[in-house]
Amino acid sequence: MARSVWKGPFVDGYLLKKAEKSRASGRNEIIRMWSRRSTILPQFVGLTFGVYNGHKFLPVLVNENMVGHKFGEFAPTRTFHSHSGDRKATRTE
Amino acid sequence: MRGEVRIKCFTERPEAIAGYGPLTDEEGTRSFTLRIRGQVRGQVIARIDGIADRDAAEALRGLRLYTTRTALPRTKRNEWYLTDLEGLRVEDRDGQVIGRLRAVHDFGAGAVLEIERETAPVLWLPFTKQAVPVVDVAAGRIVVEPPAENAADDQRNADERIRE
Repeated sequence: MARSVWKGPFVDGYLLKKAEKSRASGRNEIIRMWSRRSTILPQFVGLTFGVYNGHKFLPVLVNENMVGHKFGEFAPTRTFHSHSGDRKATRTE
Repeated sequence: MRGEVRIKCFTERPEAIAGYGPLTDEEGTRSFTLRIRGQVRGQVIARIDGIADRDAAEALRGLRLYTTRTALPRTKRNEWYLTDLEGLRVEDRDGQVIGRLRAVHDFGAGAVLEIERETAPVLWLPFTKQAVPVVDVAAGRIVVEPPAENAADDQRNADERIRE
């Protein structure tokens, strides 16, 4: 069942504080966080979070398309290895 | 019955397997030209030139097909094949070797580098221009600038979480 709209998106308080602090400092840093359940808000766009997946912090660079999703969606908890094949990696600006 | 085969592909798009010219076996002695007939659950159904019946198709069961690196098209700017990146030496700005690039992942938030270090735990970095300013495949190296928090002590972060 979907969350009621009147409640607004859920975000852990400590995460908001950390994000604000990081943005204010203007430093290039990875914000380590455990709150996989938190919703990605528009003010997180452009920041990089280290989302804990149970044993490591996976870097998640937030972009506009990720707003509304949960952080946990971008840091899988199970390992899957595949052949590289013809897959490509793009370096973002 | 018609000699069609089912192929498990490791290409980005399964049907792309037929786009790199004839494929070879592991030794490179036999060559196979594919024509895609359809797809089933991420695998492709293909017809191979010279394979006309079920017995001939059955004889190919378990065969691994390969293509050469040169058959892959050129990449765009700021784009690299994973096969070229994996195994590269990872250095810092001063040329000090940090480790080796073990793998490149994409979990939906852009490419992420998994860097294996000899004395320290695995380092995870976003594949951004800021974190990875230099990618030199010809020289077999990449230069990284780990963001601040990565270098920080894990214990400090754990304590911070408890306080919050």
